[in-house]
Amino acid sequence: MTTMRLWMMLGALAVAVPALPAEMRSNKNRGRGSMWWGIAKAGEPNNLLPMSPTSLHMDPTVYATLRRKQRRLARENPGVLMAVARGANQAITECQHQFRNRRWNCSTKNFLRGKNLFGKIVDRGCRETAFIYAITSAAVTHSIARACSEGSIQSCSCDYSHQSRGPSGVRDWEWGGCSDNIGYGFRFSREFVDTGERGRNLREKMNLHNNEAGRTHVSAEMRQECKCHGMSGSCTVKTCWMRLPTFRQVGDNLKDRFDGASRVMVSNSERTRGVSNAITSNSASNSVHAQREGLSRRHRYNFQLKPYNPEHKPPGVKDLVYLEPSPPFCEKNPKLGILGTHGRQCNDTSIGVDGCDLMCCGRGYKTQEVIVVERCGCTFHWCCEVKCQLCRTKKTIHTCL
Amino acid sequence: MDSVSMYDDNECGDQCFTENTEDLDYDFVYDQETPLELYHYCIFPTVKDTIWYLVPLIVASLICNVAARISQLPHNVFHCVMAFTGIFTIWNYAYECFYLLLLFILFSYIFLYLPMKFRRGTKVFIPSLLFILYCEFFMNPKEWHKIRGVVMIATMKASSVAVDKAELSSHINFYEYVGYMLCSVTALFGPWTSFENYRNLYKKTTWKFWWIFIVIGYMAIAFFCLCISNCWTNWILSNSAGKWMLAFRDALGFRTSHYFICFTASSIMLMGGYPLSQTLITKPLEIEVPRSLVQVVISWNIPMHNWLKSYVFRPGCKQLGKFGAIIMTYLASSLLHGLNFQLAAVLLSLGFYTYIEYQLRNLLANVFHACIASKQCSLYKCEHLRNSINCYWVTLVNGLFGILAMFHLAYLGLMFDTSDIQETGYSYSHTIDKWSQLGFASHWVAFATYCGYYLIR
Repeated sequence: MTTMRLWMMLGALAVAVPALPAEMRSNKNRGRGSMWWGIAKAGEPNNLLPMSPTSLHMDPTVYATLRRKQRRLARENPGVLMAVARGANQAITECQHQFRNRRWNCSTKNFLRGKNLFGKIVDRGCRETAFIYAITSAAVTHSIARACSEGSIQSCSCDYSHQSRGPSGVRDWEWGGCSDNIGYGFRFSREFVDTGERGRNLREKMNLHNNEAGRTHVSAEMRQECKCHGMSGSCTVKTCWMRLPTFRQVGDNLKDRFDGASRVMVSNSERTRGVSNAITSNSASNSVHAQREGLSRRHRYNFQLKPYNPEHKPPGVKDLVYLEPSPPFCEKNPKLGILGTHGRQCNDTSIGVDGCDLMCCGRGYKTQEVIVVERCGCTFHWCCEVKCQLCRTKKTIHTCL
Repeated sequence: MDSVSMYDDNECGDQCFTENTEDLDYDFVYDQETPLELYHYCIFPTVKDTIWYLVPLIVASLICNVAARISQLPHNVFHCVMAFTGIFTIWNYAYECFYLLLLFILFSYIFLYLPMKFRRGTKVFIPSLLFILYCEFFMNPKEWHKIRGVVMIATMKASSVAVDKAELSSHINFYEYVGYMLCSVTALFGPWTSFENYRNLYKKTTWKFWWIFIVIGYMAIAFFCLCISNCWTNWILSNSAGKWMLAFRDALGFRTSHYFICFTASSIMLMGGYPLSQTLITKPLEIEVPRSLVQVVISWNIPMHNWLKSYVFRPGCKQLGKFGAIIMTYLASSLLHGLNFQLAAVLLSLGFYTYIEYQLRNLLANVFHACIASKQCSLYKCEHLRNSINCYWVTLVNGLFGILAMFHLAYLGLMFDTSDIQETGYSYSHTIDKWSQLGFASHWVAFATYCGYYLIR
């Protein structure tokens, strides 16, 4: 029976790739616009159809994870898909780094099954979900901006045209460099990531808000650095430049926001913008074609969420928002896709969340000595290679029961 | 076969989940900026900004050059042209000190014609001293830090003229004096040039076109250094490197920034009509691979070194002796840089270091009869028995002293970083903080060197 399914499957792939999403539509209510996360696992060897990264845009497993509009974007902007895939991987890595010491450790499924990459936790509107949305959206922005400046996306290029400076314009410095990459990343991320979220219900609004927060963190971290030059350390000439933030910084900031995320509820003014006039805001600046789905962009992002606790102040652009409290992550819960903390490593001396008391939820832990092989004595060889030795060290590890 | 059912909607058990904690390794893959990003975000804007910044200065210098070559131009008109280009330059680049500078020029010219008893000996420095002190105490620190270079050049010029006038008591033409003080070629980035050299600019009739290539060459070196200073140092060594590597990085950034200014100044000088022989300001190679700290100090800014030598050190030697004169020189130098604790600390440290190094190496050179003194002795008339050709350890010892000098330079230069206070001048606490992070290592090493010298003396 499985053989038959295989052949049917392959036949379907070979004949009509666009026909695939028929199956997608069946479960589209779940994690609407977030299926594209699966792109992160597209090139992995444990996947069914291994492929070279260059043929990513051809690959049906990738296409299957995308919505129609996302596929169109990928088709129209060659090179974008690679960047999105890279961004998605980056997001997963960063998420797992940020949550390595928590009960929920941002685990992902190891292959595509037409389900959400991060598991069913995404179905709940909790803090963790908020973080996932924000970090993935931020990663796409970051990765696209980076790909732009590398020149691997053809439809964006460095725009050096911002030269509004007089001859003595050093007094107030203006950015004269490659200005549009972050902007392009931002706009593309809006088009691509926010596809499924139309902002019609509270959950979609939450997703939109968190996606937007992730993007804002990237563009806000784009920072200006300056240096003085002059006779013996004076500051006669001041030159400035920009630095793209490392994704670790973005992740750190988002983690801070995660810790201070605000719970929101349905706002009264929710239905004030029923009139969806089709003044599709002019996106002529580049070729990220913006075809509005229902609401125009201006309205889509123009909402204010109300804090659950009326005494709190309403969430800002950079804040993460959530709707319901997180489920307990202690015990395994297949319904929510929670692994539980059985078998997780913990730190017996810490009193934080990574400490054995909290991590193991009071179940206790076992201690064992293991021999760990790790890289050590790394030396840097010019240029640019790091050579390491393998060391065997004895380590005491604690694992939750 | 089972795995093919990729769109299966069944609930899967534990095996669907993995804990990928082991792949934290590839965090670092995306962290570093790529060379292309470096180009787009740093090198390109830096170079572009700086070129736009320099254009008015280049135009002003070329006007000076043309004015110097027009043979029909009367003497006074020529100096007026120079002064006006200077006024334009100062107004454009350092408007904060525009009126103050004009006032200073007037005041210092009047000072030249005061009776001799008011301007004898060290009194010739009074107008310059007052000017610097006024700026230091009454100006907004940010503005003062910005125009410090301009003020420094102006005070050096004024006091050199005053000293020469006191010795030779010749007549100084007002037009010449104003032209000299304001001349756009040297007003902004320096270097100091003597009054005599400035006067020689007038009526230089020969046109040579090879200088264009040298101008471009100087500019290319300047921009190369600028890119190193702004972009590459931070790119090659990220903030996670060890503290001594970071010290070396910041110090390198400061040095390359200095080369940028010096080579730009060289280029501008050549464009303004100064002869090639006067445009040598710094020797980067002798600073980056130093033989000794003494050599670094000399090669750092050759015109400044000459000024200090002829107007501070030599007169000081007669009255205070050698050690006193050295300390006096470094004090004068730090005064010229404004009353900035950090610069004073660096310069005074340098003063002690060079003194110790000079004495120790002189002693060693005499004891071992080898060419290991601070200054390189020329190969042909070297009075020492051993030199780097016939004795391998001479090279070795010189190399070791060179490495010691590099260590000191990294330590002394690291405070000129890109922190927020770079625009207002570095504070006392910043300096101490930076040095204490390194445990005042260089001062201890210098002290140890001195002890060594004291014991074998």
